[in-house]
Amino acid sequence: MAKQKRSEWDSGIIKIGSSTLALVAFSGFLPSLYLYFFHGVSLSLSLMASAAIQIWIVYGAFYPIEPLTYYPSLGMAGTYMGWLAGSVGNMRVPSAVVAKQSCGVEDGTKEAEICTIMAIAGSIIVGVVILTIGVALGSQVMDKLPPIVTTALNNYLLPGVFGGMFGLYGTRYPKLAVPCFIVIVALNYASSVLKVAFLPNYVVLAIAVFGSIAVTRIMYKKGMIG
Amino acid sequence: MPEETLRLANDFGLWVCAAVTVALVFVQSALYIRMSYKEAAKIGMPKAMLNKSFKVGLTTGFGPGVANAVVLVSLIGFIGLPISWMRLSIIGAAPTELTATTTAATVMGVQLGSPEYTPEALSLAFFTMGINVCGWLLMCTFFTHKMEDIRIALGGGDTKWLNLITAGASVGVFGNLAAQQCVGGTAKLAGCVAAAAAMFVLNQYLCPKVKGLSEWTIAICMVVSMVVGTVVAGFAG
Repeated sequence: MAKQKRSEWDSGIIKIGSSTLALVAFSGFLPSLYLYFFHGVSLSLSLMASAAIQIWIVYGAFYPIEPLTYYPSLGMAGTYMGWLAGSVGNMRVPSAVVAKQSCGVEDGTKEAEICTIMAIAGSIIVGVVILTIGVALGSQVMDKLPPIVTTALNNYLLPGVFGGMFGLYGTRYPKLAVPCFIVIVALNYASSVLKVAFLPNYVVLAIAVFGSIAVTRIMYKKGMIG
Repeated sequence: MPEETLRLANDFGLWVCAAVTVALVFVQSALYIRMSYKEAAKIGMPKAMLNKSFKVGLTTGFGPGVANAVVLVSLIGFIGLPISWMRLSIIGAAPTELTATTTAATVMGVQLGSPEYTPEALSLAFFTMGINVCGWLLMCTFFTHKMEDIRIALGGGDTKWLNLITAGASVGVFGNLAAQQCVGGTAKLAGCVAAAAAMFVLNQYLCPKVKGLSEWTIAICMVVSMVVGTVVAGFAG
């Protein structure tokens, strides 16, 4: 594959993305550094190493798999933005997908990239503003929300986002979505309900995504899709 | 939690630390927005499309944004307001941060929020949350520009197939996320199915007829799921 010189656009995206992410990675340690330098709260290297190793065991597989699996939906700028602000599955990708559909742009075009950036930016700003208002008002307001609302928000909002997003793709590609979904539900049932060994969350995610891509390829080659 | 730890957890200096991180989030968005408007002018893309996309982000992000603010209460009791604000503004949802905080407490040999929860335990919680999200942040810092090469290699020059990879990946990702909800109980299953059905009806029948409705589809699905889930939970007892 011939190496092409990066466009000015791509270079700009990469420069902004990689520098802001690296800065945020460093800023994550400011609280501990502050407590050390200003309040004398020190941590031994062995404590830090133990905590690091333990949390990497829990989440280590997610670090490469998740960004890679969401990359096709987000593109380059969307990836830098989404993995900085978080809430990729329930806020960033849905915003990007709905924006592109709403504007009638084709995936893979510059217009699609721009729509993705603007949509994700909108979701980031509204999210952080609401969070900041919540913080400013403190826990009192959160306590005043009726329990039926907080329960609904905590338990039934995510099924709405993911059901809706899956419904979007299911409507467009029913021959692909329905059989894949049946298999994915079975895998999730085996993993989280039956607690089958060797089927942790990240393995199920990898099978779901790469398996669906493989099925898409087979269907494409047979002319059943696209 | 001991008075000293609680006081430290809400110290003014930590607000400054948190503000640095939150500011960086806005800076990144602002820089990308500026790039987008400049590029749109260059390629003749109407500004209205950028404004519309931004609005979609606002409306789609509103519901999850409120939900995220509500889960703030689950964190502030353990790590204070400033760092809860910081952590929920960037990568790392409440469950992830609670896991990191609990891991740190386990390593210190204390219980979260107990009288033995010293300032050292608090600092280790901050450190563990920081080192955890470094995984995603540094992965994307160093490899995002290479993911495009991987995507093109997978596509082999066939644009149709390249776009279908996105469809396949999305079916997999959202199928998995939806499936996790479906196996989480009857009410969640009902909410999920209702939302999928709502999206189908919206896209097939309503959005073509009602201008601007397509911006609200996910928000509507969220409300449908919340109502259906609550009703089914009420019946299921």
